Amino acid sequence: MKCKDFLPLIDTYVDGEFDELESDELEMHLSACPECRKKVDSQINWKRSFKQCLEGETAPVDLRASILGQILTPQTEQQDEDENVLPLREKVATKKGAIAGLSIAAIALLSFYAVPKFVTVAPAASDTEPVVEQAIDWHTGNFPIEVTGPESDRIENWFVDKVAFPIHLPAFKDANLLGARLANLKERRAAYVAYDIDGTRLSVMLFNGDGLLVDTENIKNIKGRDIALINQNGYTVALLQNGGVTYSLTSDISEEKMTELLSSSFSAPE
Amino acid sequence: MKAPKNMEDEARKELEKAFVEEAVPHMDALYATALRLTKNKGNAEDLVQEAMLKAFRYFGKYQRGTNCKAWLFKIMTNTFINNYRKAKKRKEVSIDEDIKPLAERAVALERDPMQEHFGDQDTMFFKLFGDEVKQALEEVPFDFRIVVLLADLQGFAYKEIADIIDVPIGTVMSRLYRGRRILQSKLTEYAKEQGYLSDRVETDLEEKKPTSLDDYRNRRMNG
Repeated sequence: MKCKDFLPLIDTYVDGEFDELESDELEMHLSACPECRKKVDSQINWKRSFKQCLEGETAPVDLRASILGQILTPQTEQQDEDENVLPLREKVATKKGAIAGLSIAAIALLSFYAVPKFVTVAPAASDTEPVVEQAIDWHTGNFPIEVTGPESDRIENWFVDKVAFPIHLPAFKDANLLGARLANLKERRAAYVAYDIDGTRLSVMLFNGDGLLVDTENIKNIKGRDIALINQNGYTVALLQNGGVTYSLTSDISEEKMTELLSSSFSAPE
Repeated sequence: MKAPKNMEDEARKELEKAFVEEAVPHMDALYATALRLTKNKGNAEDLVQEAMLKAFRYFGKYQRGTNCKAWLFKIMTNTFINNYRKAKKRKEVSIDEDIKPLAERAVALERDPMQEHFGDQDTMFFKLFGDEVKQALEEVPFDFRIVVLLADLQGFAYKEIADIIDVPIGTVMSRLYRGRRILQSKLTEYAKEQGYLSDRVETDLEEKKPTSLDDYRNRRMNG
């Protein structure tokens, strides 16, 4: 075999499409021809680099949730349970089958899948969790306020015809209610509310959390309520469900401080 | 956990379970490819969603334990092509030129400098230009791009690619060969523009086609 015969076969050889006998023949040429060897190596490098460059794009968490939500049968019996809060940990623990653990009931705001790959948004992947990311964006963005505090009634009323869920603002100890505005978390319409606690800003967002996935590792049980606590980019973000609405709280306070804040402001679910 | 109400529920749950086990794990691969087909995240998400829902609808017809990944990619590729055809008819969306039939492009393509290899520079391109590789790839006409993606990103064999896009293996080989060279020549252009390569890069114009497997095998048989 000569180089001119070998060269047109490089791609097919590198793609591993030749059978053993054929490969032997090609390799005989290769072992005698450093020029062709170099070209083969180069093609192998190309293929590998191409793959490295493009792989690692993972499907967004909410896309996954949306697809699964449309495919999998809702667990209707969960609707009979307490609507205020889903004791997530218990549910996951009691369900053994892969599908049995799915809770995509309309009211299940923090949905969990018992199939481990879906339940767990690995710490690295949680960077891509758009709700947390965007909650932080809203927190740091310093967007203009559309309705000012400090009266919470006024803000709750302002939202009445603007969002499709009831707005009940939590009462934080020693917090000054600065104001609120309309916002969105990805495609979810959200109410953004800003507080000031001893000079530290606290952002609270209320939204419909249907299909939202949270890493089980992040779940803490605080006063009988399951709350996801996530630390990202120096911010602590808490996600919880109250009265059928999902709340995100974002601030640059410690997890302990956030826990303290949560336990004093959200009463235990009945 | 309550028992399913009847057999129908049971069957549905079985189907869901199988789908979650066999099809859902390929969602990331579909998405990574969809990104390079549709060229933006929103459209890629729509495409993956449409393909997955379609796959679930037809999942009863899929033979368990066979090549689920190839089956999903076939559905997604067809969905993509159909959507673009529809978009073209409606003339609502700006038409992606690269969906034109191959024949219409053949002349223009011949003028592209076909470059054999980068020599030692090949990996440098990827290091220097992550985004440029994506951009260059998106400029590669669809028929070639899909084959390069299926072979080099997803690692499908020629036979699988032939099944996915419904063309003979020989066509897969020539499109793959050409697609890779188009991409390489585009990256060479970037490199020249950026001054990483001198203008006088050797281009090997001799080999424009791969030898087909059949030709090669015939030659071996006959002499």
